[in-house]
Amino acid sequence: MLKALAYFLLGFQLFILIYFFIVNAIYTMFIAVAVFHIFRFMILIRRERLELMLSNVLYRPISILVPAYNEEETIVSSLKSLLNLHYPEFEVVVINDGSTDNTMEVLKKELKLVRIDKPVRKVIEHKPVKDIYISLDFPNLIVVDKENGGKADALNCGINVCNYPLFCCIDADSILEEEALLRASRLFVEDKLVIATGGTVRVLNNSVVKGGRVVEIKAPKKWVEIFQVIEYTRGFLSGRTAWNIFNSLLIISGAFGIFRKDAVMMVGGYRHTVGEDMDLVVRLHRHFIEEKIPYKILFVPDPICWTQVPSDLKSLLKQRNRWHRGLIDSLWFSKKMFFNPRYGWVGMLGYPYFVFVEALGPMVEFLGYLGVVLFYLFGMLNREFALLFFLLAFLWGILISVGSILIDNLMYRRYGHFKDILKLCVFSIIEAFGYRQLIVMERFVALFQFWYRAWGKPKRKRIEGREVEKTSSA
Amino acid sequence: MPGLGGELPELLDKIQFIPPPVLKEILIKLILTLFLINVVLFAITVGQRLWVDYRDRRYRKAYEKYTEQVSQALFTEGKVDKPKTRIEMEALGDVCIEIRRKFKGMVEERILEIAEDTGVIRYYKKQTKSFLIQTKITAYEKLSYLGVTSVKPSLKEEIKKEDKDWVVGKLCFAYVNLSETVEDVGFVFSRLSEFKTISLKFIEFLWFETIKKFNERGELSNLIDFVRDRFYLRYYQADTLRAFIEALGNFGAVEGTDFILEVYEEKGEDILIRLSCIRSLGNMGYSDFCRIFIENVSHKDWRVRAVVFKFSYLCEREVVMDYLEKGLGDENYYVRMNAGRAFLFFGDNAKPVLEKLLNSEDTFTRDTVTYLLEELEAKNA
Amino acid sequence: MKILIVDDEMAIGKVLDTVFSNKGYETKWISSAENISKEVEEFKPDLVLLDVNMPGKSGFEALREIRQNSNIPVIMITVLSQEFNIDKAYELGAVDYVVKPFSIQHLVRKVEAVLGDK
Repeated sequence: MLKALAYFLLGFQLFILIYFFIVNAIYTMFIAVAVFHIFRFMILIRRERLELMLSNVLYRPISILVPAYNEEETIVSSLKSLLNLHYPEFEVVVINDGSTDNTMEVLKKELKLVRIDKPVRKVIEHKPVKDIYISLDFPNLIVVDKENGGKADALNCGINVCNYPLFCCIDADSILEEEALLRASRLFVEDKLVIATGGTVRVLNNSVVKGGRVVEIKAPKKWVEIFQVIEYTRGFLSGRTAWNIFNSLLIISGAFGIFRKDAVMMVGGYRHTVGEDMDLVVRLHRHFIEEKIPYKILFVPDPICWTQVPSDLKSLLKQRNRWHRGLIDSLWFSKKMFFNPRYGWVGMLGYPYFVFVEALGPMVEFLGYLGVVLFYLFGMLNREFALLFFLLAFLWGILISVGSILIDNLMYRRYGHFKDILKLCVFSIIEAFGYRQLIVMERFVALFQFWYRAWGKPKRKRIEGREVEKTSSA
Repeated sequence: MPGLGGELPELLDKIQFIPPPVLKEILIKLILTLFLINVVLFAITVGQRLWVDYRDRRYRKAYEKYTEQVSQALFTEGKVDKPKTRIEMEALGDVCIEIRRKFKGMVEERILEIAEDTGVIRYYKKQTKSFLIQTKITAYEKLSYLGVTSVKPSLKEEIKKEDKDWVVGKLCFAYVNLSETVEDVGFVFSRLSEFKTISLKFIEFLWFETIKKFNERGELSNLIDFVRDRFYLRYYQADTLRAFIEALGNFGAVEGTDFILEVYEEKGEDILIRLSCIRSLGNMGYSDFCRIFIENVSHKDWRVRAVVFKFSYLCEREVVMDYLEKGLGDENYYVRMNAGRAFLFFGDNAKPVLEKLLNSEDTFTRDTVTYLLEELEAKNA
Repeated sequence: MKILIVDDEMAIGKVLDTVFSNKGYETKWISSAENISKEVEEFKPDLVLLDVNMPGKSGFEALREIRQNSNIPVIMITVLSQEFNIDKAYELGAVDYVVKPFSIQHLVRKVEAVLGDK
């Protein structure tokens, strides 16, 4: 009996170590791939003064969708910065998702809105639209006032209303870099197979914004924000570019992505879930593979969107909890892709990676940390294990973080002050002790919450799922 | 608890997890390598930081020095130092370009002389041979800003040879800066028309630059005759033509009126051509726009209706008011919007009509009119 | 006679500075209109050459500020050639304007015409 337990514990230790080894090895490999890829890319796009004017050589008209829910304070200023974007042809579609504050009134007053009767073809289902307005001041602005239905619902409505073949969804509190749209849309022109692209998302907090443009980039002051800078940098460097090779990019951040409208309409638009952004991409993959239509979903590193991240721990944890539930939900919804050779690289590599590393990873990591603590308390921590665990979980992780920060800085030269880079490096080390475990714990909790809820009301879930499936195959 | 823990650790020790030494060694080596990579990266970051700062400082200093020297040399016999380093070369080049782009007349020639004497032109010419595409494009661009026409043949070859659309676009921009004759114009725009992916806005921009150049030399009518002959009569190129017509309008080149009217009459059934012609005539303030307005105000395509409303201010008030009133009730909302905006141009003259419309049954009309009246009030205040 | 040159671009500022000081004017070049009122008060120019497109305070704003407490003639330098902006410049009280790219002789003649009247 005791022997069995001992073997079990031994197995457990081995499992944890192997897990950390594999995950870190993947991260390291992906960063190497990204560096190679971006480096090749950077030679082409060295920043030149005239680039902005000249990149107009290739572009496609884009509709920018901005879902707004109770944003009366920020909406007008962020819209004005969007409307001043340097892009030859675009429109902004604001979808007021049944705000309960004065968002609609503010918009009406500040932007001289006039109600119109624009006929809208309802290709994708969504909650009823109350009114559609246009602005007398900005000819390329449309405002839709609709009943509340959540972000996915608002975006679906925006897709129906907008006029151009490409749409870009961004959060109301994000700022697009001047050339971002030009760079991202170039991809659609150059390659007809591209149906979706995502760009890099960076942390805006504490940077200087003037006239809707980021003028000076600074590292944030609060520790919660600094840790997030590190997370974003590491995540986008290690988690995106490499998937391009296998055409298995499963995540395009909801804060900044560009999609071909017809493709999204084919899968029935966004699905009402906590993680609608990832869900859409997964379903796009599924649909295009099932229908045997050649396609590409790509990540491009240089169009950049700056976004405000939570500045206190509580809302950060809440956000991460939501993200994780969204992730699991999107995966669960398309579970038949799991190790299904029919879905090619996505099914055999991309999807399982997200299941094992992203979705279940926090559980293993959490058990690992817990194990070390328990072993220590019971005096069972042997030196070999402790050493290896420290090497794998902490040291390697720190090296990856610091490396990401440095590489990112070498390639993009964003931060003006050397002090900021140093600060980020130091915090990359601290991050491994405490912050990371905290996030892991919250995601672990989210995993359980999802489990619990999925069990709680399984029936509704299934019906909802089937409905969407019907529209997607139609 | 100790009861359980007492034996278990011993047992665990006995079957202790000892990784094969080879594995452990590999792992430690791996992590050590990563650590070293990080150290190197850090060193590079620091180095790069210092280098960038140093370069910026040097560049700024050189830029200041050369601005001083070049502006002296423009009017007196002052000498400009020969640049010794790449940074100085770049700085002098930028100073020359900056000055040449802002001033006309004798300055242009003098700058060219200075650039020749100091070796700037030789430097950029050498860079046009670079294997890096970006360097090549930049070099051609800078040479074109300096007006070095002697690179035209090699640039032309480059444009013919290249097959990437954006590269061709950029090189064509440089070529337009250097173009002197209508043959140059013909070459650039024929080549551009072979790429379907290049946006018309960009081609329009290139036409605009071309028109500006020819206008400065007083050869605008030559250019228009050439375009008519080449892209209209001989090879009909609808897209190229549209871009040209739009550019004429944006430039306000009234010399092009006859040609635009000709295209409008003969090819007007093509809606896109029609739109471009109307917009262009409107932008240049064509004196007989009223005729165009009445011809198109009830056109079956809403885009046409919307465009003529946009320029309705070019007509007399008596003629337009009735149409504008009708336009506010158009089935298309862009038309309605443009009609609404047009009221503003007639100022207080439009007030009686607007006040009448306040009682309209249509909510859109009512809302718009309310705003318009407010705006008129604000204008008067 | 004193001329104040306001232009954010060093190339233009320096060239104009040289041109007019060679012609015997006392000149000063500043690269931003941020403290325009103070500069005008201290330097007491007889003429201001003012660029329209500048980061921060634009030429039009600066012109408005100058007009609030003085009648110094102002010549605007602009890349915008649309009628609307020219009207705006005159409306705000500029005496003349030149459009980039411009010829130096042309500008000198304008300046001499304005200062000759005085």
